[in-house]
Amino acid sequence: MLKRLATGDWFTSRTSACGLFSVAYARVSPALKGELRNLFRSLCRDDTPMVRRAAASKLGEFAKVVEQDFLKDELMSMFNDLACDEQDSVRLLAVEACISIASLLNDESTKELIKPVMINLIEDKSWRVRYMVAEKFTDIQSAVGKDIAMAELVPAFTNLLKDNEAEVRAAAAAKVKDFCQALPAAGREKAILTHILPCVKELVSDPNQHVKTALASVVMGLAPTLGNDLTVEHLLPMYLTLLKDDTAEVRLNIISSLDKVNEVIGASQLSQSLLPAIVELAEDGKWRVRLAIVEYMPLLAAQLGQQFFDDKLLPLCMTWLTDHVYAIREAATGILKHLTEKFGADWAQKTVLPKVVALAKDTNYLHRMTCLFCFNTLAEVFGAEKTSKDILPTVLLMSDDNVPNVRFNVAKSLQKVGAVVDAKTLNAEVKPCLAKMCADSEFDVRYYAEEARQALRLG
Amino acid sequence: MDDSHSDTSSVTSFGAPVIVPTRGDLDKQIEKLMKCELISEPEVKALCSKTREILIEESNVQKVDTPITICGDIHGQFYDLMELFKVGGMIPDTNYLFLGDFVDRGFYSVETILLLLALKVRYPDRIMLIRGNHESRQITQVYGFYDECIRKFGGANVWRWCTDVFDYLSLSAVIDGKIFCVHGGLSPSIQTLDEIRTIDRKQEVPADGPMSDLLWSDPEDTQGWAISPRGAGYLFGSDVADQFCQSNDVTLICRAHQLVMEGYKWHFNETVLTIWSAPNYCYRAGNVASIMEVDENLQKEFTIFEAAPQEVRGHPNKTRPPDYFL
Ligand SMILES: [Mn+2]
Repeated sequence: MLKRLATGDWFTSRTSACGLFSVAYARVSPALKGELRNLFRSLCRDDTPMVRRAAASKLGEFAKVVEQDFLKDELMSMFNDLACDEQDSVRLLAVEACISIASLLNDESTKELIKPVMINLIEDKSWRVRYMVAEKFTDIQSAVGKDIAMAELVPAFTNLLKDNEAEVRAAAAAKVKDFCQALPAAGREKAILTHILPCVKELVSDPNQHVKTALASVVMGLAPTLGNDLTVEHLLPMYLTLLKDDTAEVRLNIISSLDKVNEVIGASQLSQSLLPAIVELAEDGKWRVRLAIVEYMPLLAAQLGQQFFDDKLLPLCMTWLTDHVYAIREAATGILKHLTEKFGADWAQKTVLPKVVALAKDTNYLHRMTCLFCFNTLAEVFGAEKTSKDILPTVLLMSDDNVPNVRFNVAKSLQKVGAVVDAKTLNAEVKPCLAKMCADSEFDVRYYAEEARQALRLG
Repeated sequence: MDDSHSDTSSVTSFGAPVIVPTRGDLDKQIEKLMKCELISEPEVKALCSKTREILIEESNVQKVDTPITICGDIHGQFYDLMELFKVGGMIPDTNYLFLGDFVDRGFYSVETILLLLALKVRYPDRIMLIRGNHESRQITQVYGFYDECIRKFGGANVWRWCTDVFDYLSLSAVIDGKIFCVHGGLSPSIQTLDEIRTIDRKQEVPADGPMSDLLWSDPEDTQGWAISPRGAGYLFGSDVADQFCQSNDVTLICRAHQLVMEGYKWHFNETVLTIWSAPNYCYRAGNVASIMEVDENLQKEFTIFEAAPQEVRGHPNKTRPPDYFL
């Protein structure tokens, strides 16, 4: 049946035949196997590009079931045909076949066989083929083995980074970290410094934003590979430039991976060179950029220590509590817990709490609720005494707020705060307040007050 | 507990008695819908039935209190609605008024309307929904909601139940007696809020007349009334808006219905405001969206937001390799 399909008049039947070879091959006699290989070869040379495309896309699968000897001569020659097909859509599919075949050739000398064809694909005149190569570059790298990777792929990769087409540069830029990491340790640093970094530096000011966005998402990952000194010398200037890029996505991608430099460059370098840029981004117009900075704060706090943090970053954290975007207020509330765990409850009581308490009188009900959310977080780390002395009185005051949303959040807060304070305070202060709220004019307030009462067993 | 919120089963025109969802059920449904996952058909039926019970109690000109956040058209852009909540805060903590056009055009009209209805049933005092011209049987059959219901539920039941709910949506709202909110605009046959109150709204949006006008009209830099190029509603000028504000002792007419690239737009010396909450409308217009927070002193603050980034959308439109099948 396969033979009938493969020699059918309709190109659709020949196209579907291509997929069946890898299944059929293992189950037939050696004589028939030869026939199947010949059939597949004729499909690779079919007049219809659709059929050659199908053959190219199935060549890798077929190669897996063909014996090593035939692989080296017969399949290699089929692959050679497809890899220099006149249609770029066929050559494009040969890239994947190339990866499969290269990984099947198990000794270095046979891998040499595939090298020239592969180099041709990498330098293909069609950008779509080069794009595919760039997309698959790390697969190619692991398929061909170390020797070829170092000698041939490094120059090929830098060519892709310098490609005329932005799409190709972007695809290659996205692979920079993985490619560099996978280079053999011997000679890796030299290859990165002399060949790859110069191209990467060019990309930092690429005219195309997608290229920079792709680069920004991976370039931080080079820090562990390069180590402290080289990171400061070569990577830091690039980070700083990208942090100020006009495209928000570029800035965001850089910030989101700041933790990777942290581990390498240490606190003093960080505070001197990165901090000014970070402070600037704390007020970025795009809220997702601000959010990334907020989430980075606990890490910075750990690196910089309390004094430095109080001076430079705490004011930012307090400003975020009244950001006009809810997600920022929420994240700023969330990090208070981490910071308090790090610097201690006394620190929070002294530096954070006064500002939070002041929010209870903010004219915006959303900010008054932020005050309660902060209390919820702080009560978890404050303990019974501080909570009943410094948090509870304000919560109780807010139970008479004009806005029902604030009142039912008071009920929710009392549920949390009530679980922390001692039994005496619970009965003397929390219980009567919840009882009052259970008779509120608003349904939602009664609902959450009742829920809190039940949770605290004050029924 | 308040009787009007208690859970009892009710007989509706849907036929058999429908079991009303408990708060626990609703919380689970909201959780699912927030992830853009569908709830079951019987759940939809019960939800719609309960929504109608709540909406039937609302006035054609529903009184709403500050503080509240006002939102314009959503049009099934579910992930952008999530973006709106990230920016404005979640229900019940933030109070919301949505000015209609929840469905059609976007990919997720079903999830969008079901989420809004579930929130309405769970927190009726925290979210107010009024009717847009797309909350209609006729329009949804042309602009996507009907087809989406068929595709996602394999039949027209969900569409029928939802459009039945649409008939009960209020036509307008007044915030603290001072801000009149409506989807489209004014009508030549309406001078006072009382005239809106007398409309029998529980029906499909008519082709013309006052109810249709409220949902279809647009402000236009002119005086008096003019024919609308939309084929429904009218264009109204600054004098009409001024007169309406004066007669009804309101300071602002707040509406949606028209795409504005900057997310919101003032008209006529700040007597009329357009709010638009569907960023990158139809996934290609390139506009930003906005919401307006109105505080207890009627102070207004706008927050602009953009479309949700690709990586937080459900079916990421991954950058495809060049199309080699051409
Ligand atoms: Mn509309």
